[in-house]
Amino acid sequence: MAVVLPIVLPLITATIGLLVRRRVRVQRAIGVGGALALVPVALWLLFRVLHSGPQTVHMGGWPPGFAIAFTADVLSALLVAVTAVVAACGAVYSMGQIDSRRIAFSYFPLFHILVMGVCGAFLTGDVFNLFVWFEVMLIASFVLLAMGGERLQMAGAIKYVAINLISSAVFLVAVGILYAVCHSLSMAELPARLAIIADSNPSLVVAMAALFAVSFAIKAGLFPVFSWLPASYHTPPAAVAAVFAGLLTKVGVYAFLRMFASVFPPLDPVFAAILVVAGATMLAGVLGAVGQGDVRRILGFHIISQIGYIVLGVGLVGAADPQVRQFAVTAAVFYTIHHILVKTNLYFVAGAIETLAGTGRLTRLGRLAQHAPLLAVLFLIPALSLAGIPPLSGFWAKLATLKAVLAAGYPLLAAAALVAGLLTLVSMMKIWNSAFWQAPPAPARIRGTARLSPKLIGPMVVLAALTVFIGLFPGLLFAWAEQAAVELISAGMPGPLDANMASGTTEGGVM
Amino acid sequence: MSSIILRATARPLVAILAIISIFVLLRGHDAPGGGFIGGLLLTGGLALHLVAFGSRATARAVRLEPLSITAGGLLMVVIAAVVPLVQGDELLQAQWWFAIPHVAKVGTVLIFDIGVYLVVVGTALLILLTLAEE
Repeated sequence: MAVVLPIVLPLITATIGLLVRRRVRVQRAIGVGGALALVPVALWLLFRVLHSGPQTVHMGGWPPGFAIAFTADVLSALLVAVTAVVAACGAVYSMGQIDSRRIAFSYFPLFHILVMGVCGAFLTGDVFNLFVWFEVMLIASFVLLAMGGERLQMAGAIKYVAINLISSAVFLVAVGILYAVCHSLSMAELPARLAIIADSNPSLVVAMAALFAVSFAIKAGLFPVFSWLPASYHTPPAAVAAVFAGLLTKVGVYAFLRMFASVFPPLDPVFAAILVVAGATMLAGVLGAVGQGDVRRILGFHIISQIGYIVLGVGLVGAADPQVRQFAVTAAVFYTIHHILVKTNLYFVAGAIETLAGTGRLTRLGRLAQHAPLLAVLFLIPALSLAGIPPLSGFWAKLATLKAVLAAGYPLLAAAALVAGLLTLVSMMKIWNSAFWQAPPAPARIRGTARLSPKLIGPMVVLAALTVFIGLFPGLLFAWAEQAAVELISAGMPGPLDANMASGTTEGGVM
Repeated sequence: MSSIILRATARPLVAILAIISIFVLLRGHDAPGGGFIGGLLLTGGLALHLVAFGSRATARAVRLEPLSITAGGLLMVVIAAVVPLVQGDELLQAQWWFAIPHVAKVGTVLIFDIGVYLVVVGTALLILLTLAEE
């Protein structure tokens, strides 16, 4: 029951919200209430998983093999917990920022369907259902992006949906081939079957892995297929962009982790390619940010570069040394959690800047530190964390990734990571200088702190506090990330018993 | 576009399609049919009504807003999914309560199917009305 509640609860919230969609106040209450209720539900799931191991449920009580399976291991439960925190913060922030026209257009039901899609993708135990949840997310996020119907928004939304549909098509083809070859799509059964096929026909497995990698690369925003992200993330309201920035690309990263650290056997060419792409993504992201003059556009490019860091950990799964492998996945999990919290917070800050000054263009901003000192502090915490300044969470995330990269023997990639980190700091300082410190070039129309309601400040404070907490006590999250990595990798290392079972049943049709 | 023959035949045809759609909905668990195809049949009837009498008349005849029909159907789906959870079974596990001979077996499966029926009708009607307005 604990496993399906994070999916069922947003669905209930969305349904009730849809029934009362004309009443803006009731909508707000239900939307925020449902999101807040998700936090204890997700924490309960995390608690259960940490104490009694991975949990699997089969829909409808059908036997495994016929039923749709949902599985929560430490990785899934951790990500669902962070999703719940981000959703709650995003709902509160939306209450302070989304206009009543959008709310009457079913903003909150769509928001919850998006959350349901994200939780479903994290919890599913079946590759085809991963595709289904991707589609749920894609539909909800497309409407949220396009809602409002401004020209710029439509342009961004259409690019977003067109490129993501290509990704979905590639994903579906890959799922079809996988099923034709393995006669199963269960994430629990696939590793053993794929390991056997990799022995006899490695190029087939490489081809499948490459198809999946292309699809996930588009979803996650990797080099060279990230162009949809900077085209669309600065157009919707900040509350929407923040939740997207925190969660959507990370579902792509999760798919990478799940499929490549656990389901697919480590095959050299695929993982080497992932490493190269990850390195290029880090650099392309920060370099893309250099030329930008808008707060949210800069942040969009930094999502890309940070995804590069995370995917480095996935690429290192191909390393020969099992300890390096485990440490790399641990770093990737830690980095993902850190990045969800920090990036959502930065978009919240960008939204607050736009609320205060009426624009996000750096050339027209200035002296915000004087007008809104609290906002300045709330910007500095996630910004410095993003750049990897100790003692914030980003420092530990970057340190762990660097250690893994060096241990695997890729000094060039480590150098690229350091350069990207430095340029991230430069970018954050650019925002700090132009928006918060320097005098604005033209007389700016700052409307004073009175405009920033607690509904905007509250979520930022919560996320900043979490960043600082992880920074000061990284051990706790690191231990969980390590447990997640051990589970992931051990699921991908079939024991001799599993291998025998699989070889006996591979040709047996459905089961 | 709307002829007198079409208008004269539309009403009885809509009624017949509505009855068939409910028949298909109810036999759906053990035989071909179900909520989705039943909902499409009713939508076919409503489309006929729309062609014959215009979108305003159809919207008036249905009375409920399409999105409210969808939301109501979604609510029934959710209820059918969660009831077994409350009784200690898995999500969506079928709960059978009683059977009406020759008509249907009543249980969460039927509630789920009716929910799907309403979601399909509401969504398809919304699409029809939006297209007809343009």
